[in-house]
Amino acid sequence: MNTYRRTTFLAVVMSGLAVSALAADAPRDSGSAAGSSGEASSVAERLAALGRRLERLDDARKVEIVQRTYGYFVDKGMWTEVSDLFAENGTYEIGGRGVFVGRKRVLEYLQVGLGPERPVEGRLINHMQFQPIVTVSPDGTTAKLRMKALVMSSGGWGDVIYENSYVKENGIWKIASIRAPFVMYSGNDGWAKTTTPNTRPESFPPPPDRMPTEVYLTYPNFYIVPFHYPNPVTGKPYEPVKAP
Amino acid sequence: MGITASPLTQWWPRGAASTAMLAGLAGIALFAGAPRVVGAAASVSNSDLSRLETEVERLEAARAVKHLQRAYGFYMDRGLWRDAADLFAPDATFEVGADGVYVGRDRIAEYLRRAGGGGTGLPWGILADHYQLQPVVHVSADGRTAKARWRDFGLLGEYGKSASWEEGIFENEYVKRDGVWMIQSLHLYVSFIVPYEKGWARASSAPADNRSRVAREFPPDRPPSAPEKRFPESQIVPFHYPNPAQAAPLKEPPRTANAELARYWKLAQRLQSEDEIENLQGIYGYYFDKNLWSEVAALFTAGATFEYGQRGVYVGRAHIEQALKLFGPPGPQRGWLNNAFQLQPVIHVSDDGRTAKGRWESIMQLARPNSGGQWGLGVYENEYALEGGRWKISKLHFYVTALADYDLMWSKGPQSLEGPSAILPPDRPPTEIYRSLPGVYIPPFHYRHPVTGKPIVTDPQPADSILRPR
Repeated sequence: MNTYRRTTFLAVVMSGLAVSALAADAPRDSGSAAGSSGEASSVAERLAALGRRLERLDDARKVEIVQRTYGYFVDKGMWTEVSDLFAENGTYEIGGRGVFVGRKRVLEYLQVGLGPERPVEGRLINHMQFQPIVTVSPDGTTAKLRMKALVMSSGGWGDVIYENSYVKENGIWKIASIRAPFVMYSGNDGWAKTTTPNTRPESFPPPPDRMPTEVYLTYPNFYIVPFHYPNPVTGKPYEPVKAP
Repeated sequence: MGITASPLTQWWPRGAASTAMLAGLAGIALFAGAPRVVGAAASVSNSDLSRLETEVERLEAARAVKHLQRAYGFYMDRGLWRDAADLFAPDATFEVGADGVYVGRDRIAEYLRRAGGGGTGLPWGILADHYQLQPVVHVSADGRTAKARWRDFGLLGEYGKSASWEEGIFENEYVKRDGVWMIQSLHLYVSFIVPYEKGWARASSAPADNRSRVAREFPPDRPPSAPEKRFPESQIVPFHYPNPAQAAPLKEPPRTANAELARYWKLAQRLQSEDEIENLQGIYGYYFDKNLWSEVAALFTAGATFEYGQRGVYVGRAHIEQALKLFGPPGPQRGWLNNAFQLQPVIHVSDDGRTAKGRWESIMQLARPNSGGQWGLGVYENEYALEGGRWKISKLHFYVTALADYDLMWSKGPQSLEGPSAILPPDRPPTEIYRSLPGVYIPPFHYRHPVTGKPIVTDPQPADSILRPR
């Protein structure tokens, strides 16, 4: 992740052109430079640079569509459709359950761990996808996303913060990794009364392929999911804060 | 409308290295004097480029503003007050609820520090989730400032002591300084902060001092800019925009003989349409919240259809405006709440750029006088069309998938959908018969699977326990 961030940052800092002016990606957007110093480049180059900026905006939108569609599928237990959103070697990590590697294991986690395909009578499992911040790599082949979900379910409430990555293969955006640390689970009597601690690799079958990326506790404990992007105004990269 | 490979992916240098090289070339060329028209782009002039660049910057600005506000939410929900404060311009203003106006980044930082419990990161047991939802963003013509309306949806609490729902509307302003977008003013109008046990419908109407603990200990620079009206009062937060039916029509992209330029303009126009449609549907929700039925009706094309749950299909703008009265008397009403969150958009514009389709998720917070309140959930599958150069809703189909009594929730309190009105019958019966929770209906998707490109199969409503013989 560090390498990715450094590369992106370098590209933006070194470039007098607006390679990617997504706010999170290019804190010092160089729109003004394109009008002055950039004027020296050829018309063809400037046109290409504008086309690239448009394509990156379109990439960001397509990444959002993949993740939002993930939400619509999960709501209805459409597990095969969910797993088909992943790249062949995509990884999947929900809460504290550890990492499942590859599209087949993603499907196994969903079908074995979460129950039968398609909605179950009387069961609500809405995983609504909000608040996306997308960072597309300058070459438009990979992207990262921070997003929130609100889980509204028959059993209660959940708050999720995603830090996901995506890859564009043959022009199609796919999920390269979903990391979805739940930060709060609560029952129907509310989060002041009932919270459920984080899940663990052995919480329910099937077992994961790898240990959790990080072992942490959910609300009322406190965990900061690391940010993939720098502060959009100061440009300072995120430095991990220890829980108090 | 499957997503296909972009023909442009081969066209420009790949990777950060080539980007850096390109930048280096640009730097050298800086000393080479005026630009020369070369190669395949011979018919593209400097003014063509400036015009496209202005459009690209506006599109980037709209996204930058969304990212900025969302970044604020992500910092606040983890108690990272310093990072949140850094998102503000040095002379920014900040106003939340009844707390008054704080002026300048340092004062805002101190407010946020105290609101977050005094340290970096939240204290043990504190929940401060603020979902930043439903953006309606307008960038100024010169691209230097922007305004946006947002919905703030809060899950707040202190473990073992309290859990609360919060809902409010932001009307914020943003400014671009030295190429960086910052928050110039943030104003959150709080609609309610209510205990989880009782919900919004039973919010007290007694006058109260709604200032936060922070404002009492750390007074503002100025008093509140407007008197606060929390639910059950109905507060119409001023809109920074006119009804889109009165807004300036979209500009047609310039004609050009250059194939590259034409292709970019087409993409720019599509991206702009997607932004406009996201605004349009968000605006629909903000009007619907407060029973502003004539404003809602103006968002539809003349021959549009409106279908809500199992109520049947209403045809034409005039009939739609009447049908909306089924959801409450027109205009803000004390004790009524029709909060209709517009979430999770998936928008696809047709190839000719004249029509579009969109899927949306909705959470509803409902209240009627002397009731306990309701939760609602549903999915929109809507269609849009250009009418007089403005995007409007040509078909609204809201699939209500779950309704529940506030106290009993989804497991114990699911409620069935209302059928067609006898008082104001629809023009057509429901296009699809389905049941909400505990039923298992999946609203159909207007688009193909974004990765496999295959149609997304959703089964028709299965025979349920009422229809199924036992």
